[in-house]
Amino acid sequence: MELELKNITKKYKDKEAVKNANVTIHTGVTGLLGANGAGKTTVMRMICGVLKPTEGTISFDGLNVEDEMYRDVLGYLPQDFGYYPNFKARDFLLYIAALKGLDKESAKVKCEELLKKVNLSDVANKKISTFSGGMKQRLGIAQALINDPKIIILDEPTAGLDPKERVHFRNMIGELGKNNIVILSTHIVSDVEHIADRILMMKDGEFIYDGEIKDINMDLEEFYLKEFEEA
Amino acid sequence: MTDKDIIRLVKDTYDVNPGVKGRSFIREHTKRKIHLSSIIMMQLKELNPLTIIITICISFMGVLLTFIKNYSSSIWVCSSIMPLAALIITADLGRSKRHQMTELEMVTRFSLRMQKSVRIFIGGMLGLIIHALIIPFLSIKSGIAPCISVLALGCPYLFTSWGCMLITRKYHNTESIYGCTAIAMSAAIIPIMVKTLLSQFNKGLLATIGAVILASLFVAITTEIRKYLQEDRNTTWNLN
Ligand SMILES: Nc1ncnc2c1ncn2[C@@H]1O[C@H](COP(=O)(O)OP(=O)(O)O)[C@@H](O)[C@H]1O
Ligand SMILES: [Mg+2]
Repeated sequence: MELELKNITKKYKDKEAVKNANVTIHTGVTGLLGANGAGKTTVMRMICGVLKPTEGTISFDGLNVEDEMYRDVLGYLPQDFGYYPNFKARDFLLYIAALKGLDKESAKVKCEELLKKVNLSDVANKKISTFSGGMKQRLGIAQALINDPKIIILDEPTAGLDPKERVHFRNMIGELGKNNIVILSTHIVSDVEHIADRILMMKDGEFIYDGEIKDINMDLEEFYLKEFEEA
Repeated sequence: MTDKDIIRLVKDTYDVNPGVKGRSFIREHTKRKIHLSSIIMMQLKELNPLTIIITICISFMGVLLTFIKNYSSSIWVCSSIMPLAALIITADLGRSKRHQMTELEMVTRFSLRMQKSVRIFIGGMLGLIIHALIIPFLSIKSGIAPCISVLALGCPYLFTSWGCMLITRKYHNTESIYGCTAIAMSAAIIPIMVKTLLSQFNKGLLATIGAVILASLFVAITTEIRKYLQEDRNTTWNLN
C-alpha cells in the first residue's frame, strides 16, 4: 500500500497553502505536525479527495484519489464536522455506514462494535446535541472506522479529548497502524511521539522534515522546535 | 535530478496502466454493493417530516379552494401559497451544508453529488405532485385552462425555488433562511399584482409574458441545479 503525493500545490485565490509537496506514505502511523495555518488540513482534504489540488496528483497504489472506488477504503475524520439535529449517536453511525455502502446487517454489527470501542455504548441512544466535545470527537473517530478503512485520515483527532481519552485513543491508533495507512495531524507533539512511526513536519505550506521517528535521537518536542527555527 | 526523481520518472514512463494495482487491491478488500434504490430510500428517510406535512397541507388547501362555489380567485390564492411549498422543499436541499455534514458526506461511496441529485429528484417530485393535484381540480371545478394554471402556479413556485437555491448556495449560514423567506413572501405577492393587472391588460399578452417568464425560470433553475451539484469540491471552506 502506498499513498503518493506528486507535485502537490494548493492555492486559495492568491494564498499558497501547500507548496509543491512530494511525499509517499506507507503502512503505519504517520504524524503530520505543524502549527495552526501550516497547511495540514489542506493536505488532508486533498488526500481525501474533498479538495482538488491546484497542481499535481495524489494516488493510492497508482489509482487517483478522485476515483470513487478509492472511497471504499477511506476513513476520514474532518477537523470540524456536524450532524443532523435529530441524530442520536447510533443513528449517526448507521447513516454514515449506509452512505459508505455497508449492508444493514454488517452496519449494525460494526456500529455496536465501534460504539463499544470508543466507549459510547451507554449513550448510543442519546442525542448528539447533548454530547460533550470529547464524546462528539470519539463519535467522529468511530464513523471514520466504520467501513474498515485501509487509509485512515484523522485531522486533529485528539482535540477535545481529556487525558484518559487520549491514552485510550493512542492505543487504538497504534493497533490500526499495524495494517493500515494512518495519517493524523496535530499541533501537539506529545500526541504523536509514542504512536507515530514517521513524522512529517509542515511549516507555511512546505514539508520541512520527513523521517522515521526512531531516527530522531532527541526529545521530539525539542527537535520540533529546532526544525522550526531552522526552516 | 536525484535518484528518487529518476526512479519516479522511469516508473511513470513504463506504467502503462496506472491504477490497476490500486483497483484490484480495493476490490479484494471491500464487497460494497451500491444500489440507487437504497440511496433513494435513505434520502426519503432523512427528509424533514415537516416538508412532507406542508406539501400535503398545501395540496389539500389548493384542492379545497376549488370547491368554494362562485369563487373566482381560487387560482390566485393557490398561486400565492405555492412559494411556501417551494420554500420548504428547497430549504431541505441545503441541509448538508447547514449542518456541516458536507465533508463527511463527500468521502463516502455514495458521493455527496449523488445524494444531492437524489434530493433534487425528490424535491422535484414533491413539486410535481402538488401541481398535479391542484391543476386538474382548477380545471374541473373552476373551469380554468390547465395551461393558465401551469403559468399561475409554476411561475411563483419556480421563482421561489430558484431564489432560495441561489441564496443557500451563496450564503452558508443559517441566516440564509431569512433571505429565502423574504423571496418566498415577495413571490406570494406577485399573483395579487397579476390579478389587478388582469383587468387592465390584454389577457393574451399577459399569458405570453407569463410563458416567457416561466421558460426563463426553467433555464435559471436548471443552471442553479447544476451549480448546486458542482459546488462542493472547491468550496472555500469555513475557516476556524
Ligand atoms: N478556504 C480557504 N480560503 C483561503 N485561505 C485558506 C482556506 N483554507 C485554508 N486557508 C489558508 O491556508 C493556510 C493553511 O490552512 P490549513 O490547511 O487549515 O492549516 P492547518 O490545518 O495546518 O491549521 C492557512 O493560512 C489558511 O488561512
Ligand atoms: Mg487544521
